[in-house]
Formats: sequence, structure tokens, C-alpha cells
Amino acid sequence: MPERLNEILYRVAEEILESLAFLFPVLDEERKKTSNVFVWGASISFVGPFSGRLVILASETILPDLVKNMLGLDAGEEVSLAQQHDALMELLSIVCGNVLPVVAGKKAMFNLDVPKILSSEEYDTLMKKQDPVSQVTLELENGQADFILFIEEGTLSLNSLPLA
Amino acid sequence: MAINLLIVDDSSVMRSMIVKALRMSGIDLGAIHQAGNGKEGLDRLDEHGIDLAIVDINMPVMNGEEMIDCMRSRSDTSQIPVIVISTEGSEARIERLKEKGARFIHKPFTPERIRDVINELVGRQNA
Amino acid sequence: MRHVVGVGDMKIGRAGDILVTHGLGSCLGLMIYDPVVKVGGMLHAMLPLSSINPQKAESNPFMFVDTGVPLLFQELYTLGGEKNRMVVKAVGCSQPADKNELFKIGERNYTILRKLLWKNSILLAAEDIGGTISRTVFFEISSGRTVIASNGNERLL
Repeated sequence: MPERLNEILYRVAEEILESLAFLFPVLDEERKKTSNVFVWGASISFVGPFSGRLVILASETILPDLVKNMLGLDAGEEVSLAQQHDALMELLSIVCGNVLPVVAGKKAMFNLDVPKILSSEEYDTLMKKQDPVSQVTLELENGQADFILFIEEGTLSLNSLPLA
Repeated sequence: MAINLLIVDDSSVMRSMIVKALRMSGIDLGAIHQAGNGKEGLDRLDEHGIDLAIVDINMPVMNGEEMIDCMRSRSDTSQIPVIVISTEGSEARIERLKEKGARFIHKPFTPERIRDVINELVGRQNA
Repeated sequence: MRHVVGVGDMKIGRAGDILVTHGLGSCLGLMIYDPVVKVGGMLHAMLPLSSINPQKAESNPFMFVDTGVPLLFQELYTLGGEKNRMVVKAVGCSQPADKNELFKIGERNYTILRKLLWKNSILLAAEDIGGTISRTVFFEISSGRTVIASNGNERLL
């Protein structure tokens, strides 16, 4: 099941990144090599047939492009940290809202909380508390975005996952 | 005739995207007001003459569906057309929103979708 | 007069011209038309981003969506075309029948087109995108009429 869930999460995250922000995963040779890049995290909780949260960890180097592409700005324009956080949370919210019906079906009803920026301490606490059911990495040109799904209540049924 | 709009979404980046798509749509735009949650949205409705509201669902303080319920319960706002722009994926909830008179656009949206829904609504208003 | 637009190619036409391109698979076919001055152009771009081969992009910018599309617009502006009048249609960007395509060229061609259009506040008037088919496009500059042929069928876009 983890593999199937990972495929779904990766595919949905990839589709959303492309359609919302015109960003797509690239091959290793196309990526800009960076080291010691700071990572921003955000989290969104959901309640429904199963409940949990989706977390995104994104290299800070991809956030300016995320904002500029969403707003249709030129490459040279400045964007604030507040806009970068806003865009990160909105991306997470849209991925979450789109992945849950794929996993649980369109008859399932979920209530999504508002997303929030996650501190590294909060993330460490989360990872210590439980293992994620799914974790995927999208390697973009300027950095990477990890999507991590935690289920805190209820269970995903293997049979309920859509076929490829 | 210029249309005065209200955009309600807790993401300011998303509100800017919607404004950009509206400007591309070709409709005659009047004033564009913005709010970050349903409660603020109702305040804007009290303060300004609004011809069309574009509303997200998942917001703090008051969500979009609660805001629409309030609008429909008041004689001065019950007839204002509403477009919901949301990631909502539940068929039942989307149907419920449509029964409250809202049009639905799924996130992420294309600017062409915004143009088509707005033109249909405006066309209906003018008919 | 009929002009054929090859792969990695762009042509401009005026009233009386028909621009044709064949074998649009994963490539992007972009048709832009100004109905007032009756000029139009067609681009057949192969790949999304010129950064993968800047030298090639310099010698043939029409090979790439991110260099070819702006050039097509600019060419039409120099001939009297105006942005707010332009009718823009997109065709192609399909994927192989075997869906396990590593590079997703068709999808990415379309993504880069959408990025450019969004940045420049331009809407698509129509599109016939995706799927697994190969398309041929006929673009009549006198009227802006665009016909797509695939699998023995023809349809108006």
C-alpha cells in the first residue's frame, strides 16, 4: 500500500505544481546544485473518514519562483517572505484538497483546517510521534519539495485505493 | 455596466490570482473588494455595493459556506450571485453549495474557466 | 498561398495564406491571429525550455516553447497586430500511447505555454491538447479558421 499511496501523492502533487505554479520535476542534470539550503515547512490538518495531516517541506530556494509563477511576475521582481509563506500554504492546501478525494473517493467528505507554517521543532515532534503513511519528494530545478502524509485516526483501506 | 466584486479567500496570493484572472476575462470591472475570511466578507458586503461575490470555503473565523448561508438569510444580500473557488472534492458538498445558488470552480483554476463562468453569470444578469 | 510549418519552425501569413503543420504529437502548435489587420502566425515547437540547449535556442529559437512563443507574438506586433485583439489557439502536446513516458514532453510544452500566457495576461480562445493522437492543423489567415485533422477525421477548432 505505501507504494501505491506514494504514487498517488506524487502524481497529484506533480499535477498541482504544474497547473498552479508551472513548476515540474526535472532530471538530476537539469537541477541547480545547492547545499545547506534552508527548508520551510507547512502543515494542514483534515478530518473525515480518516483524519490526519499533510506536511510540505520545501527548499527556500523554490519559494520565490512559486510566488512569481502564481502571480505571473517577471523573474527580477522581489517577493516578500510573507508572500512566500502564503504561496507555500496555498500550494499545500490545494494538494491536500485534491489528493483526499483520489484516495477516499468523491463521496467522502473531509473538513480541512487552515494551513500553517510549521517550525522545525513542531516537525521533529510530529516525526517522533508517528511514522508517515506516505512520503514523496519532487526534485525541482531550484530545490525540492517533500510531501508527507500522516494518518492520526481511522485507517486507509487497501481496496479503496484507485487503480493506476 | 461595471460590476463591483468581492473576493474572499484567506490567501492573499490566491486573491491576487483571482483579480488577475478577472482582469483578463474581458468583463467591465468596477471596484474589487477583498476579505480574508467569511466574517470580513460580510463586513465588506455591509460597507459596499457588491454585484458578485467570489468565495473560498476553507477559511478561519468563518468559512465560505457559513458566509453564503448568512448572505442567503438576509434580504439585502440573498440575491447576490456567488462563485465558490475551492479545492472541495466531495460531490455532496459541491451539490449542497450549488443548491444554495453558488457556481463552483475547482482549484487550481484556469483563467479561461473564470472567464466562462463570469460571462455566463453576467450574460444571465443582462438577459 | 499554402505554407508548411515544419518541426521547430514558425511562419507568418496574411489574408489569402493558409499555414499548415503536420505530425503534431508532443510538440506544441500555436496559432495566433489578429482579425482586424488579418495577419497570423503558426509555431511548431518541439521542446519546452531553451535552457537545456542554449546554443540550439540561439540558432533556432522556434524549437523551444519559451523562446518561440514570444517571438511569434513580437513578429505579429511588428506587422500591426495588437495584443488585445489576438485570437490564440493551441494544439498538440500529446503523450505516447504507452503512458510510462519519462520526460512528459507534451505536458511540459503545454505547461510552459500556459506560464507564458498567464504572465502576459493572454487567454486561450480554444485548444485541442493532450491525448495520444498526432494532429495536422490548417490555419486560414483570411478568416482565422483553424481545422484539425487526426485519425482520418477533421474538426473545427
